[in-house]
Amino acid sequence: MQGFALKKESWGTLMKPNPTRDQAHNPWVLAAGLLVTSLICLAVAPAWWQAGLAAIGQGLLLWWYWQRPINAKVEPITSLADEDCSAELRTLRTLLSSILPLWEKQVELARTQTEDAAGGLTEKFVAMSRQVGETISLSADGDSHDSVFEVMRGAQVELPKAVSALDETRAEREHFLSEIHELGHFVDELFSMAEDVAKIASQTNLLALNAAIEAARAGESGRGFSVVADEVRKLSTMSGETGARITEKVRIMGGTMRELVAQASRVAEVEQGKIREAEGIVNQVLDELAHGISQLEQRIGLLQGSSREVEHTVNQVLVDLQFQDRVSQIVSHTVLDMRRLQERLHDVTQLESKAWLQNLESSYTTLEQTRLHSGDSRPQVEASSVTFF
Amino acid sequence: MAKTILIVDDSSSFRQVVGIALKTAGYSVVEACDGKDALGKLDGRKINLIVSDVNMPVMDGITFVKAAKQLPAYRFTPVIMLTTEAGESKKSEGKAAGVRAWVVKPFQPPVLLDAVSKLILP
Repeated sequence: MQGFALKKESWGTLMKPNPTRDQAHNPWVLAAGLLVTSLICLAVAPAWWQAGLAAIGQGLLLWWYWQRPINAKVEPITSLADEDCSAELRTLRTLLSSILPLWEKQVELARTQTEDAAGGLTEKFVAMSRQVGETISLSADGDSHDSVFEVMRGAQVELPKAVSALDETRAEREHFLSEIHELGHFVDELFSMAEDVAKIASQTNLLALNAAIEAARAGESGRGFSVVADEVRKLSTMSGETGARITEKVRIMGGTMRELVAQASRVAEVEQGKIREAEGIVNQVLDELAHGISQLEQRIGLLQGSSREVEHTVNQVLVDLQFQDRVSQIVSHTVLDMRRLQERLHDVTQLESKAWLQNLESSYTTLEQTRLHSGDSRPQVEASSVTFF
Repeated sequence: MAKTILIVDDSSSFRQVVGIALKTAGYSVVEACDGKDALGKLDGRKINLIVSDVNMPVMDGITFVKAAKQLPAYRFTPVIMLTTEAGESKKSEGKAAGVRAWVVKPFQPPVLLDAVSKLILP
């Protein structure tokens, strides 16, 4: 490259005006020469006409010299430029023949390395995007979350039912106790009835006693009646004793029933407390479940949002990863053109820049290549488009 | 069963990129590095759609499509060309060869997937 630059400079020097050539056209130098040669002729010639002829001859010689030096000096310069240009072209051709294959190999090396790197990037991205996708799909899996929600919502429905069942049992027990409590009134009635029986027995005994007195007063005729009165008194005594036993049994039974009711009421009260406690725990669990469901729903929403963002990013990366394919094509076209130039170097006189550029332009496949060729310094890659046939 | 798409492109990284886009959408893919390789893959297996590049070594995309359309089993298999070529003359060549859609690179995955879903065979 440095040698080529030096040659280019020396070539440029040749194109500058030649000062030596301009000095050869100086008329004063020519006139002085003519005068000197004429004086020599006059001094040397035996006759004036001969001196005149010699002077004319010298003049013609000088005139020829006037003309000759210009042609003589221009001609060698032109020849020198042609020879130098040819030499330069030969040097340039040799240089290009050597360097173009190297450029081609270097560019191809860069293209291969880019392709390998892009392939590696793509493979790693494929693995990464697959892992991210699987993680997100597992986290945001609608079916598994639905089943969790189903269990949690089922618990929200079933747990209050359990509390309600306990409450119902307690209510039934209270009703049962209330029934037992009602039996207490019957006990009181039985107690009252037993007392009535005792009173009737007492009255009957009194009547029997009076009848016995009246039978004794009647003498022999009242003896039979006295037996009857005596038997009635015995019966009334027995009735009174029976009434007393009934009263005692009813009293015992009433006391036992009251004790039972009181004990059942105490149990019911404890049970009621336990049920309320269970209800409180269940409500707390339900609140925690509701909070958990709400948080889970929020997290699922966030995951689904993240999933959409990741999908968008993956799509963008997929677009960016396509750069290698485009770069490879652009580089390939450039390499092909370099190869074409190398093939035509043997006859550069046949190269025509306009046709060359047209051929190069026709080889482009991307829009940005065409736009760059047309003068757009930074052509943008357009978004993908689809045409249906 | 997942539908199968044949991807034909000489750039392995580009085939991978297209593969990711299609696999993410649930398709199964078969890859080929040029037209000749792709013809070898059309060996009787079920191919629901073909996505092919145009400029490839050994056998270019248009020649491949013409050859594929000569195979009775793949005569009606829809073909999408996925290429940097955006010129109308190339598109006309593709249309004449039996191409159903022409997508210009670089492609946006949703654009390609939309074209695939519209054309793919059941």
